[in-house]
Amino acid sequence: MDLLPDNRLEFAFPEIHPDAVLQIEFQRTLRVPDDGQHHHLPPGLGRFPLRGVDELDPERVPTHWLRRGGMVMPMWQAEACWLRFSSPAGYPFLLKVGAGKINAVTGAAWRNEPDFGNQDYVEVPSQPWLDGFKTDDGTVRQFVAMPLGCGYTVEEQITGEAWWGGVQLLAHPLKGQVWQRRMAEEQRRQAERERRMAEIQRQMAEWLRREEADFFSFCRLHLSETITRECRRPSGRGALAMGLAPGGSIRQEIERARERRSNWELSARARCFVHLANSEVWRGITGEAPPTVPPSAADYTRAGLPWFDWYAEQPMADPPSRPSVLRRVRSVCQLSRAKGETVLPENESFPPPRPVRLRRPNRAARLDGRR
Amino acid sequence: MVVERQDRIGRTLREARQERAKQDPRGFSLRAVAGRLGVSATYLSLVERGQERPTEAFLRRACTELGLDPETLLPLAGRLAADVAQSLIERPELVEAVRMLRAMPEPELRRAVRRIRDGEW
Repeated sequence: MDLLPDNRLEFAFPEIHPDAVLQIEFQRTLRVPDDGQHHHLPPGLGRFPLRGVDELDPERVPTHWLRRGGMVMPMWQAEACWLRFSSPAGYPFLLKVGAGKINAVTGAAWRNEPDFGNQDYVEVPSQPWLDGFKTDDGTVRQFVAMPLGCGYTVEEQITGEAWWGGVQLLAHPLKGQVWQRRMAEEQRRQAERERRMAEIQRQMAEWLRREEADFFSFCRLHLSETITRECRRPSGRGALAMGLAPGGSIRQEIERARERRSNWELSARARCFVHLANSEVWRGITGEAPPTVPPSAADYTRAGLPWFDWYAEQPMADPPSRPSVLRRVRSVCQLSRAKGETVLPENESFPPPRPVRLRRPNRAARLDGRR
Repeated sequence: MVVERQDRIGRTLREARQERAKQDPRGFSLRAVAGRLGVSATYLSLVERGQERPTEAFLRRACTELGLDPETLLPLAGRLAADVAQSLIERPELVEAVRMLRAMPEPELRRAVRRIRDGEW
């Protein structure tokens, strides 16, 4: 695993195939209101900065972070994020995502091995992003950062412990020979596919570029100090770290896995632990200021800025007999009401805006094993 | 050379102990620490003065007690961690890998390590 200068994580497997390169980035975003509505996909407001744990002054970094290795990323309390996955050549990857070592797709305790029977992973590039914990078919609960020890994170709600926090990533590439065969069959189609993928990214970038000036005028809300005071200060190792908790609901489908198990190179894998540092800790260990607090979703919407929609071609569905444990976790808002605490600075609802529909690449022009 | 390395180990251990003794003089006296490590105060004193070559087991216990990294002190004592020694026996190509990595510039080495490091989680 490598960190690119533009804050993208790169998992490369040159021994499997030169194209076997997976890139992952954490996008800053709006926190959608937790108001019982299913919201559209929020925009990306730029990448979170990342720093390699091994690059930091070991005197300033907790020992257990050094042992776990990986990356550190700053988040404000109650800030939301989403993950974007891509592969420059469209090389397929099996990717497991965890938060506090709870699988974000199934809610199961983290295992390194993929569960092919009860799909606990996403396939890249067919799944281009993940905005939250999959709670229901077609919806996720947004990833929202909360301090470990306050009881809000999914890890604490499911295990009762505030031990791991952070985000965990594990990737397996497709077998090199499977890719090689597919390349030979579909080389002509690849150019078109890349053009389409670039078009999706261009659509998002264009919206953001056009509206950026308006948008950043209300970015400086200085919310974090208020929130920090109102949440009980956690003790012990948790005080330094944050974990991801379930926020408002977003319409997002997880693509059903299509690759055969035997297509994956399970002997090759890469993992990364991304530690979430609150803004003070980030400043302490890197000497740098964290990014500004994003605006509220209501202000963003009132300014007429875009939301997005994207639908999976063949969404994954939970078997009715095995509802995900993630359906039972309570959102930050529900839990804070029950505790009589105020941990979200605002949660204003707004009439649903008309989203921008993001298109998928042409079905015939993909190399991810779909028919 | 060997004496110099033992001096460095001794100095590191002594400084770490004395640093902690500023907060807790009784808990980190030579005698108290030796007691917790299961050795005599004389042995600990000899190690701290660079006059005794510590064993791997002792160094690991001392590093845990004093918050030091044993992996950096073990080679100074001329000790190879047991798991590292075992790995070299099982996979002799690792010896060649170490020789190649030795010549690598520091940033390149850090990058290479980051690429392959899995982390404990």
